[in-house]
Amino acid sequence: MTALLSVRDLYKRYGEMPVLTDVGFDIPKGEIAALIGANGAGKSTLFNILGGALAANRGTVLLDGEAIGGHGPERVARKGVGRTFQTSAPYRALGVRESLMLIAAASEPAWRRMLVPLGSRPRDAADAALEEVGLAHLADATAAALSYGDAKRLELAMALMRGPRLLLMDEPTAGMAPGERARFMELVTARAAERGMTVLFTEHDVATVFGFAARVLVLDRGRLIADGTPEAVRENPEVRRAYLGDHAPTNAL
Amino acid sequence: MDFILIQALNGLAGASSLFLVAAGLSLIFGVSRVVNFAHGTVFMIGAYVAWTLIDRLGVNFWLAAPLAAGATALLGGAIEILVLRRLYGRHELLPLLATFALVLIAHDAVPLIWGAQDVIGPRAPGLTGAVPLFGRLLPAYDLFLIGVAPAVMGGLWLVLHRTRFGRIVRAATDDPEMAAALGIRQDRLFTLVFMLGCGLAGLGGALRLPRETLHHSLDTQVIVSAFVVVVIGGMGSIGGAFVAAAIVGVVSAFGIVVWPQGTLAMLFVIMALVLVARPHGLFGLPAQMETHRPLALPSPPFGGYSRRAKLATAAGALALAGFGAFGSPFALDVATQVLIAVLFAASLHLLIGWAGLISFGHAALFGLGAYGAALLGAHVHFGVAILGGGALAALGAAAFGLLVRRMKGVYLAMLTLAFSQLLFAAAFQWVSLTGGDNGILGLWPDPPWDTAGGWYALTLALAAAALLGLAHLYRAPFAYILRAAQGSEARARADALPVDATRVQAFAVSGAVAGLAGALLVFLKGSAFPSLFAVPQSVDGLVMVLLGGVAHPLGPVAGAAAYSLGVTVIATVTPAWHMIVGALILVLTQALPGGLLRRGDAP
Repeated sequence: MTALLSVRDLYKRYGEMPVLTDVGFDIPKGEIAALIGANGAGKSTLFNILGGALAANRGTVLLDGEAIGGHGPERVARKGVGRTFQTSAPYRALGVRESLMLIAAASEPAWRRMLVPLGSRPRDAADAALEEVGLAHLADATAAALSYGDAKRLELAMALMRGPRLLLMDEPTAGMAPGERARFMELVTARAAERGMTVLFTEHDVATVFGFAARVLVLDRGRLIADGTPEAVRENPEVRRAYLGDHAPTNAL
Repeated sequence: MDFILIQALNGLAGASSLFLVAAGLSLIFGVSRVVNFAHGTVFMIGAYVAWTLIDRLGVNFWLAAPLAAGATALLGGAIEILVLRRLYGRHELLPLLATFALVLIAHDAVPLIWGAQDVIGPRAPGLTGAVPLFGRLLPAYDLFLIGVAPAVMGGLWLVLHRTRFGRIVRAATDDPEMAAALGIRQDRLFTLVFMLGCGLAGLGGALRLPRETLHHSLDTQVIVSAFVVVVIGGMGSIGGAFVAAAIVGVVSAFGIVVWPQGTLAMLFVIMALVLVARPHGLFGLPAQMETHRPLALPSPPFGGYSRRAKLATAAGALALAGFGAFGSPFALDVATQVLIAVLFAASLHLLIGWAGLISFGHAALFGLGAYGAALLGAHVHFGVAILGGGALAALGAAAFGLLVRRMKGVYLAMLTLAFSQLLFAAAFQWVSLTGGDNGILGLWPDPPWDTAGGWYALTLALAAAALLGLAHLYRAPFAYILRAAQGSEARARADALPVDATRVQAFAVSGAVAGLAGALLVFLKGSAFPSLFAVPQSVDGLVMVLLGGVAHPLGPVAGAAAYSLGVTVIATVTPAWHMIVGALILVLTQALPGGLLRRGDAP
C-alpha cells in the first residue's frame, strides 16, 4: 500500500520554543488514524501545518507524493484535503444548503462568482451531501440556528463537499454525549469507506480513539513517541508513562 | 556627515513626543482593544492647556507640562467612563466612531476656546540656548527631548514590570479573557489605562510646545503619524512604538530637507513594506489582530427578490424621476447630493456590512473618482471623464486592497485612514497636477445635462444602475464568500473559498461605486478640491452606514438620505456643524447602536 499522507522530519518552533521536533509518519490510503497527546503536545500545530494554515520551519508534507507544506489553506484544500475544526465554525449567517452550494461554486472563474446568483444554480449536489450526513430536513435553516450536533454534521458535509482524499478532523466529537459520539464517528467511517478516503483525527475521548482508529499516533512534547495499532500503543510503556501516568491500569485505555 | 548627524538628532527630538502619543495609544489598545481616534485631539488639548497655564496664568513651563498631562489624564478618564464604557464587547466600529465624534466636537470647540490663529509656544526656561555639536548648533531643548523618550520608556517599563497595576495591565494585554476570569476588575483597569494613555499624549503635546507652533488642526496630523508608528511598531507593544517613533522621526527630519512633498508618501511606503513583511508590525503579536466581531448580513431571498420588492423599487424610481420634472432647481440640487451620498454610503456598506472590512478612509476612493473625472474632464467628453474617474478609483481600490487583503479590524481602519491622508496630501502638494489648494475649476457638463434637472436625471439613472448592480452582486457567490469569511475565516479558507481574491474584488467594486459618486459630485459643483479626500468625507460615509443600520441591506440608503438631508438643514443654521454632527454620532453610538433599520443581531 502506498502512503497517501507522508510527513518527514517536521520541525516547528514558536519564537525560540520548539513545538514539533522530527515528526515523521506515513498514513496509507483509506486508513483511519488518530492523533493523541496531552494538551500542549503539538497536535493543533501539526494539524495546522497539515491543513496549510501554518508553515513548518523544516520538513516536508507529501499528499500522494506531492509536496503541500506551506502552501496556505486554500491551495491545500484544492489539492484534496478537507478539514473540520475543534470549535465548529459553519457560516452562521448563511443557510445550510447555501453553504454547500457556495463551496461547490468556489473554484468557478471570478466573473461567474460575481454574475450568476447562487439561487439560480442546481441544488442536487448540495442536497445529496446533506442527505449523506442526515441533514436533508434542515436544508432551508440558517446555520446559526442549528443545534451543536447538527452544526458538526453540517461542517462534516462542508468538508466532504469537495471530495477530499484526506480528511483532517480536530476533536470531532468534543462536547458530544457518548451515544452521539459513536453515531457521528460511524457516519464518518461509513463515508470514508465509501469514498476510499483517508482520515486523520485528534481526540481526547479514549473510547472514540480505540473504537474507530485502525492506527494511533502519540505526540508528547512535540515528539512522536508511538505509532502503531491501538493494541500496540496501549501496551507501549513510553506512552503509558508520558500520556497516561505510570500507574494507570491497562484497562483504562 | 555633520549634516546627517544633526538631522538625525533633530528627528529623534521630534520623535519623542510622537513616541508618547503612540505609546499611550498602544497601551490603551493592548488592554481594551479600543483604538482611540481622539488621541491626537488629546495631544493637542494637552498642548493648549500647557500654553494657557504658561501664557495666561504665568505658571513655569516645567510645572505646566506635568499639570497638562494630569488634566488630559482626567479628560481621558471622563471619556472612558462617559463614552466608551457601554461600548465594550460590541461591534468594533462603535468605539472607533464614538472617539471620532470627539474629534469632530473638538474640531469646532478648540478654536472657540483657544482661538483659530496659530500659537507660538514659550521657550523652556533653562534650556533656551543651543549646544555646539559637530560644528553646528543644536537647541539644548532638542537634546532634552531626545532624553525624554528613553526616560518615559524606562518609567513605563518599571510601572509595567515592578508594580501590581503593571502586572495586571500586562496580563490583560496578553489575554483579556483570562484576566477577566481571574477576577480583575475590568472597569477600573480600563479607566486607569485610558487615563495613563491620555496623560502620556497630553505630556507629549505639552513638551512639543517649545519646539513647534500650535494650531487647531494638529490633531489629525498627530493621529495619522501615531497610527503609522503603532502600525510599524506593532499594536500593543511599547518597545515597538519606541523604535517606530524613532524611525518615523528620523525619516521625517530628512524628508523635510530633501523632499518635503514626498515625506508623508515615504512614511507610508515604509509602513506598507513593514506590513507586507510582518502584518502585525515589527514587535506586535499576531493574536492582537484577532479583534473582529462578525456581523454578517442575512441572505437575500434565495429565489430572487419578490414581486412586491421589485414593484416597490420601480414605484420609488418613478417617483424620483417625476420629482426631476417638477422640483425647483434648489430642491433638485439637494436631491442630487442625496443620491450621490446614497451611492457613497452603499459603496462603503459593501465593505463594512457585507465584507466586514472597516474603512475609515473611504474618502480616498471618492476623491480618486472626483479627481480622475476632473483631470480627464478638461480633455474629453464629461461622460468619458465620469467613467474614467470610476475606473481610476476602482484601480486604486484594487491596488490598496491587494496590499491590505490580510488585514482586519482596527488595523485595516488605520491603514485606510492613512491611505486617504496620503492622497489628501498628494492633492494638496502636487500643485502642478491638482492645482493644490485652489482645486480644479470650471468643470461643467455639456447641454442638456448642464441644468439642475439634467444632472439630477443623469445622477438618478447612474445611481439606479449602480444600486441594481450591487443588489445583483449580493445574490451571487461573491457576496456569500464575503459573508462566510466574515465570521468563519479559517473555515472559509479550508473550504478553498477564494477569500483574499474576493476581498480585493470587493475593494475594486466599492472603489468603482465610490468613484462614480465622486465624479458625479465634481460636475454638480463644477469643481474638485482636496477636501474630497479629507477625513470628514470618510466620517460622513461611516455615519450614514451606521445611522441606517450596518446589518440591513437598505441601511445605507436610509442612512444616507436621513443624514445628508439633516446636515443640509443644520449647516444652514450654524457654521459649527461638526460639533453638532459629532454630538449626534455620540448619541447614536450610545442610544441606537443598531441603526435606523435593524435586522438580525444589532452590532
